[in-house]
Amino acid sequence: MTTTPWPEWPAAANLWASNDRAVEMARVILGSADAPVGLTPKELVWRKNKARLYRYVRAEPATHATPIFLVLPLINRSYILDLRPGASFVEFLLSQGFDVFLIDWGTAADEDQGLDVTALVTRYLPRAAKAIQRASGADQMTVLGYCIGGTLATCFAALHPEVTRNLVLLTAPLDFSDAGQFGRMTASGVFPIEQLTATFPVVPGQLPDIGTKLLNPLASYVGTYRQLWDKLGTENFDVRGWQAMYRWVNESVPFAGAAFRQWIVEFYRENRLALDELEMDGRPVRLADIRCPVLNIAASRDQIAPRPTTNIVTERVGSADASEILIEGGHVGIVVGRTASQDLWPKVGAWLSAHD
Amino acid sequence: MTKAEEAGPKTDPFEVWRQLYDANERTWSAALEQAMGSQEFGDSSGKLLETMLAAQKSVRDNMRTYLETMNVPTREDMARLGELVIGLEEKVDQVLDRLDAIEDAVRAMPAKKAKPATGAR
Repeated sequence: MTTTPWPEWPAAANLWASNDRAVEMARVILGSADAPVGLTPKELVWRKNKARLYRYVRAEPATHATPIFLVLPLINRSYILDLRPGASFVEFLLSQGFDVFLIDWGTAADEDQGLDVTALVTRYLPRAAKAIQRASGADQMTVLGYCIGGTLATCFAALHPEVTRNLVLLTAPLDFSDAGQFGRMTASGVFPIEQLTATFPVVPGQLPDIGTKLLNPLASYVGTYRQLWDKLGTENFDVRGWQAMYRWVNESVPFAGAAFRQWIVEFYRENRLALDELEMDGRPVRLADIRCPVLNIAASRDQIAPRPTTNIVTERVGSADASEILIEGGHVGIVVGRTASQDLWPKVGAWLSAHD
Repeated sequence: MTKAEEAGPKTDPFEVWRQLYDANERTWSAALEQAMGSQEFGDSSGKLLETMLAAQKSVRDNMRTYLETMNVPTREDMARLGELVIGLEEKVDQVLDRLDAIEDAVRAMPAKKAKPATGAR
């Protein structure tokens, strides 16, 4: 390992010259917990246990016939696709004339320890879809899932082809045969999943969060603050934008114990979905049963859902219309990063319009 | 020119930290990535987690015993109550599903012609 020599140490008299910026840095970081996010107006359409289905309010009627059903990951808050004005995928979809619904999984508590992925896919998503049918008047919808939400959306689309007009997957891991660092971290004999879920009825959100940050520890635990330090010295630094992103990355959600166990065992370790061995409520979940148009969006530098986990979709689904967009960037950056509004969103919007 | 540039590196004590990080970030990241990808790291972190879980379980068990002795509801008691409510909600949902299915079936039935009135005048 090569390291550079120590830089010249500043004069003692100047040690506190950056005091103001240090205080400002602390203020920005501590204030991020209250950063305004998820500001697009929405109304409650349906609820079950902690889950809520929202419909985003439109000033004018939708110009597209097919509503969009956003399925979020279980480890994030619901605002991640509606971060803030100008950096909101939801806002973009509304501006393109779509009727947008979103399922917020809420915050699992001890009484949800038995709630597994199967229940979410077979008892929650179908009823939410029915509520969308009622509210929108449309028989079918575009199901759009992000990350783990994409995996759930895929299972739902395979089990309910009658309501799925299109399936859009945003960095959704489906094949865990080569799941990268996450796969190694959660391997059998390494990760004590049974002991973990026996101890915690709901797995603390910090655990998956730490796992995510350990994928790139230096950048997560040091680089973030090093960048903030630099940005605080520049004019026109968007403090609110930085705080919103920081809040997203650091505001974790507890994972219901049974869902976490099923996610680790059946998906990561046994790779049942990709191997056509997954069953939910006695019904086989097969990728080949997805016959609607499919758009798979992958990120080139994704460490959370690395490329090998996302690239089987177009080959394995039974659809004749399955395409893929590979975006330059990371797992989070491609959705709300600076280039998202110029790169990803217009491409998704164009695809959705063409498949309305 | 940014405030940092105006201040100059000599006046910024954090510049030392920044320069060190910038110069070594790639090397350190590569070393960390290599270390964390090893079987030894996996085994070690797994054992560490197991130990922490055992300690946590012990704390939880002791607290539950204490609360039960004091006749105070435990987290498990509250969770069981919540599970009952969730189970009840699921049953209501199942009833609604069946009603929906019946409603759909009735709507799908072809409309029959109304029979002529045959009652006594």
